[in-house]
Amino acid sequence: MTSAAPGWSGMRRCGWLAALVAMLAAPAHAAGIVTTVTDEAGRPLADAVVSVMPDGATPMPASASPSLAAAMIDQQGEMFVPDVVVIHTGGAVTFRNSDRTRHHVYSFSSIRPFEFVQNPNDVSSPVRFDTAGFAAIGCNIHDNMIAYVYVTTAPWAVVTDAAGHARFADLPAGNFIATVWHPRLRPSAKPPAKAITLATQDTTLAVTIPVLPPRRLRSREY
Amino acid sequence: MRFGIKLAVFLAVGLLVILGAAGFATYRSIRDTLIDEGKAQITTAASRFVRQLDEIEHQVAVGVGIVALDFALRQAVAERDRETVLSALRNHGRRVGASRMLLVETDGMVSADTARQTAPRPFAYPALLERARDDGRVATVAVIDGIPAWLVVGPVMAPDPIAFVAAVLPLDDELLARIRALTGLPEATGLVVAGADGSWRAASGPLDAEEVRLLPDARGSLPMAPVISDSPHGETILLAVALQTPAGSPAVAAAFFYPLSDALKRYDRLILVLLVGIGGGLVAAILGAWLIARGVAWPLEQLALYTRRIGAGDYAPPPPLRRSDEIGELYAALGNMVRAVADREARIRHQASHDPVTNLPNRQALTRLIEHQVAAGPVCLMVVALSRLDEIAHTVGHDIADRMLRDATARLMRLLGSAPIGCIGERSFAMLVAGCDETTALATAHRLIEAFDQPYREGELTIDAAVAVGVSMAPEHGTDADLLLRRAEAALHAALHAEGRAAIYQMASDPHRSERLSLMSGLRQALARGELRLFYQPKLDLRSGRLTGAEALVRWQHPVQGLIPNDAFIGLAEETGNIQHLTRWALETGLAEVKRWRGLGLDLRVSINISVRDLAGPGLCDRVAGLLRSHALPPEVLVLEVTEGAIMREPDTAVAVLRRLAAEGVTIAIDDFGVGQSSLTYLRRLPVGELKIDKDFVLRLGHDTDDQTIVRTVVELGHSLGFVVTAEGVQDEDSLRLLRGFGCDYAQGYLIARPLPPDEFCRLAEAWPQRGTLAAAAC
Repeated sequence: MTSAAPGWSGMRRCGWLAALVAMLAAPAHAAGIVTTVTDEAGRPLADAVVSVMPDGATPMPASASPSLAAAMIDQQGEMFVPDVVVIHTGGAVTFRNSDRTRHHVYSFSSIRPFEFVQNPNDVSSPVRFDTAGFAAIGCNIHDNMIAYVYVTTAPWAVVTDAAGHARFADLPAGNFIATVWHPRLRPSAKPPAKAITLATQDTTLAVTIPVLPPRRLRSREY
Repeated sequence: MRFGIKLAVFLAVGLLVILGAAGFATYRSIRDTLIDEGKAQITTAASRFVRQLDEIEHQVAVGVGIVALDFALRQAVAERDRETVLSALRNHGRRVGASRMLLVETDGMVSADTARQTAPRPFAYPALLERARDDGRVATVAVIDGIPAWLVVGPVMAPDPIAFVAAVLPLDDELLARIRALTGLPEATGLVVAGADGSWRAASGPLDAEEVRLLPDARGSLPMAPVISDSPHGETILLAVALQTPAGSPAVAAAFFYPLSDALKRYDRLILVLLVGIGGGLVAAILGAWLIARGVAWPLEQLALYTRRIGAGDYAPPPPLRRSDEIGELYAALGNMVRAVADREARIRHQASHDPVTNLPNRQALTRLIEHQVAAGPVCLMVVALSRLDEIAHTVGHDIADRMLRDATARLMRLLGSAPIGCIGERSFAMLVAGCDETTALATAHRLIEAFDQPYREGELTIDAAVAVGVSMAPEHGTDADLLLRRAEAALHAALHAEGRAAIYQMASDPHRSERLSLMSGLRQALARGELRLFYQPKLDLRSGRLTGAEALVRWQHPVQGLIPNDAFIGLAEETGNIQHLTRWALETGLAEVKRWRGLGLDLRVSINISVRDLAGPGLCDRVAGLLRSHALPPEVLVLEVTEGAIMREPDTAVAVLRRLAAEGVTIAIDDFGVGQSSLTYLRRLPVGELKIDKDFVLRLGHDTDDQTIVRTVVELGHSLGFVVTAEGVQDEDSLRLLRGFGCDYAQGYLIARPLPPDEFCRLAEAWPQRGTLAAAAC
């Protein structure tokens, strides 16, 4: 049980912020950010969620990135694929069972507890997440199956690839706060937030986060 | 069995030492081995114990892990339904055998505890939570409320850890007992917990507080390798194995106490076997030693017994002993020795009791025979002597004499048959004839003498062997064998001179009676007491008719026995040397008497008999000279008479003394002339002045013409050699007349006068009728 998702007080701050974002929107489509997330040992971290939020006078865009509206988590070979999905608040996640076994998908998360049994080849009805935060998803039949749904209020959010990269393109110029979250982020650690100022040029951002070691597969129990 | 005991004791002690040493060494070695084995055992058992602990721990951990994955529990935890969580924990706790279950939040706070209802508090071992998160679950030994227990912590996954379940399983006595049963550990196995002060206390298991105190060494550390310590229950192997505990928990260790007595339990039987073995060996050894010792000692004892028997004179062959060893050889050698000794002794015995020449029983043996026969009845003992054997031996040699003696033996045995016979001297035999009187004895004696009528012949040699026989008879002459023999010999002596050369013992004439021995001591006393007197027998001068002298003759008037005949003590005094005292006394007394006569006006000479023993030294001359001097007498008054036999026996010294006496002026007369073997030529060389013709020739002179011839011849010869001649034993007038006619100078005898006491003699001499007239007639 990890700590609750970071709260975004700025969301309700002012309308002028939104106006500013709209104003700058056109000229702002010029720059991108390449983020590299590593652990403390310098190894690239996959499955980290990098969220970018306008800061200060930079206006919120009119709508969040459309890719954050919905996500699909498949279950293949008694694994959730992918491990981590990120959606915008109000987005929904659909579960599909590509295995020949049943799965009992559940989440005791505070933002959206649910559970259902899914027969093979079923596609669930979308599970809608209205609260920012993250939910750990498990299967009650297969203890090793775990997936995370990260629900964010930020307009842009990307999950890092195997090389630890998260790429943002066509961001408007302005000031932003980039936040990084990872399922193995140490409970005691706060998700790091980095301020970024974008003009017309692409920017790179390197973030190092403290993580727990990856869970070991305890094969001797099988 | 002293030797046997010694040997047995020696062997037993030796064996005891060897077996004891071997036993002790074995004991030590086995004990050390068993102790090492015990240590190895306990080490193995201890590691098995720890493995078993791990195994059970793992099973518990698995159980707890499964419990933590229970969906309902996860759901209840996620939904913070505390009551459901508690009941689920109790329920699941029972499944895994936990006595207590806790729910710990991810922040380290205990939010539920089946043991007690308390406000949330921090979990005692937060490090375990980290490990449980990282490893999925963790199990360890920890001290919970002072009691060592397994503490298993597992995360509640939803599917990320949302809390931790902690299960507590106390490591109590029951559990330890179960493990001990599985691992074969010593009874005293338990867990100890370190106190704050570094001491250790028993926490579970049947541990003795006293023993636990022994565990730590001086530095307070536990024995991680087996050590031996003296516990209240005896020597004990101690071992401790530290158990992993989380940070913040007191140290916990498994402690093992293995009493040496248990480790050595097998050894007890071994010791028993060893002791029985040693004991049995010892008994067998002692028995063997005893048997060997007996084998050695028994025959030795038999030998000792046997040698004692030999010492006592029993020469029986030794008891048979079939042995091929040294003792057997000793037996055989001893047997041979005994046979040799017995043979030699028989020979010596035979020699001791037999005459070497004739092989007849000797005197001692015959003595025993005689005693035997005398006890059986009347018997007569005949002693036969070959009279001339000495002479024969000197003449023809001892070999022939010996053969002659053997021939004599044969002759006697032919005659007497089986009558006992012995050889009692160099030339005499003794025979026993049972049951005979004097007549038959004499007849037998004459038959014996006749048996020697035939001379002994050897080659061309012919020897006449004359014998004489003396006879004594039991019991008439005594019953003592020795006495009988002596009396027979006395009779033999008599027989040598007797007609027919055989004689039976006559008590009256025996000069060798034993009473004589006491006479000698009596004689010395008699001299001192004056029991001896000199009697004087006058000597008549045949030409003048006057008494010219007298022969002094000893008379012993014994106060008890009366007058003792001269024959009874003179010869004995000569044999015993007492004659010199007698001669000395006679000289003193005789010369004193002459002195007295002179005082009375009697001019007479005295003749005194001397023995040949008086002539052995110069003492006689000095004494005679001294006496003559002291009495102021001229030497002519003394005549010393000596028998011719005496001079013949001791010629040289005797003649020397006589010459000196003659030189002094003393007249020497030959007494008993005619019976000896002296020759006149020999006499001529002697300083002799007078011959006294033995009375044997004079007594029958009146009617025996042979004697007349002899006497006349002797007188003539004597005169021709310059001797004065005296005739003794003149008993009748015819004899006196004949003697006078022969020209004999002096006469002595009963016709003239018997030997007279001094006073009577003096009276006779003074009153002698022919005083002067006879002398005148002679002139």
